[in-house]
Amino acid sequence: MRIGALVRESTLERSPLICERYPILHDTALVIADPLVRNLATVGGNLAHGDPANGHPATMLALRAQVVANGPKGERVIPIDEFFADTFVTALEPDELLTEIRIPVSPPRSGGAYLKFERKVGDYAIAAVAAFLALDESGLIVQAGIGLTNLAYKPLRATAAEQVLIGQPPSDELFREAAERAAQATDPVSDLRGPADYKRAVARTMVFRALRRALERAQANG
Amino acid sequence: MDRVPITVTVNGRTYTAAVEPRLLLVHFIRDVLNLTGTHNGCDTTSCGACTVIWNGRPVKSCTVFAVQADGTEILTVEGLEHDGQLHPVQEGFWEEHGLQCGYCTPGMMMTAVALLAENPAPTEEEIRAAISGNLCRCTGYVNIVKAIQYAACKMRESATAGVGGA
Repeated sequence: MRIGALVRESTLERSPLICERYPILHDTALVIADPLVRNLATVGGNLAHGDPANGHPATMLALRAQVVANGPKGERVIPIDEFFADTFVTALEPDELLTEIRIPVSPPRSGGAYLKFERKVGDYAIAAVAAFLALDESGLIVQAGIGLTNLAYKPLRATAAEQVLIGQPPSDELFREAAERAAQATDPVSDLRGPADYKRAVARTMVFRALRRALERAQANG
Repeated sequence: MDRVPITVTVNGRTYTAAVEPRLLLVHFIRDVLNLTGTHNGCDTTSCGACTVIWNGRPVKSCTVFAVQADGTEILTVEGLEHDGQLHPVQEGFWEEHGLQCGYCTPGMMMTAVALLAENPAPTEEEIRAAISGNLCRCTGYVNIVKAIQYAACKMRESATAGVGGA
């Protein structure tokens, strides 16, 4: 699926296609800023800003998206894992624009979810988590994606946590272990949204919950 | 920086002007068009005091550059009242005491007008979600919700009356 860089968050929010086929994107759009902001804010901007507190970076990491960049030297496709370089720094060159986001078609028996823990509508996340799971015919996890919002200097993919899940039958015990690994990978800062230890603890709980929600959706998507 | 010519329709009237590219829409509305009903609150897209309806959707006018509004249609709080008759949303804020200091009120009302155009019978939860980007520091929102419910009732009644009388 291709999302043009200027697609507004409210368009994702209201799209029946997104709602039915990519509920993780619907989840994400619904908790970005507030409804008035979402009438103008774009998906491309949410990524290109390179802000680790933004929502879509984690979701795109979980979904293994690609970013299309355009500049005087032509078009190039950047895997999302190579896109976020540092706080507010992306792989985009100064003369390049983000023009499109490409998301792999979701396989059967797959589902994802984005959960955000915030003080109030309009605030950035204390911690937020994107989780995506795909199951094989026997119910084993064959694909796992976990992205983390506002839990490090840049948007994070919880690779070690993903590896714990692959090839395993889903269970609460397994999800707790993955959540622990994901929490260990975080490096949050202490600020007005709470001390680092608190955020890490919130992240652990949010990863667990997001995996459960993703599993429910994957199982319903047989 | 060279000024850029723009044409914008505000409250049904077409305005043309040459503006600096960095001029925010809220400043264009207030300082160029002298429509000061739209309030400039936080200037950082947090508070919603500057909310206007832009091509049918409520947006914070401090998020938008005036040049982006070229060719668009905007409704501000001044466009709500017609021939001395308050808009039902304005009447609702009056009847239900939906304001105290009044600073957030124009933005709050524009969000309410857009909500009711799309959803004539919103639940309390839907109203609260719709105004979640508009901050009020005085009222605790209770009377604002009542004001919007009042307007929703009034607008549904007059729509029904219109059908009956036709």
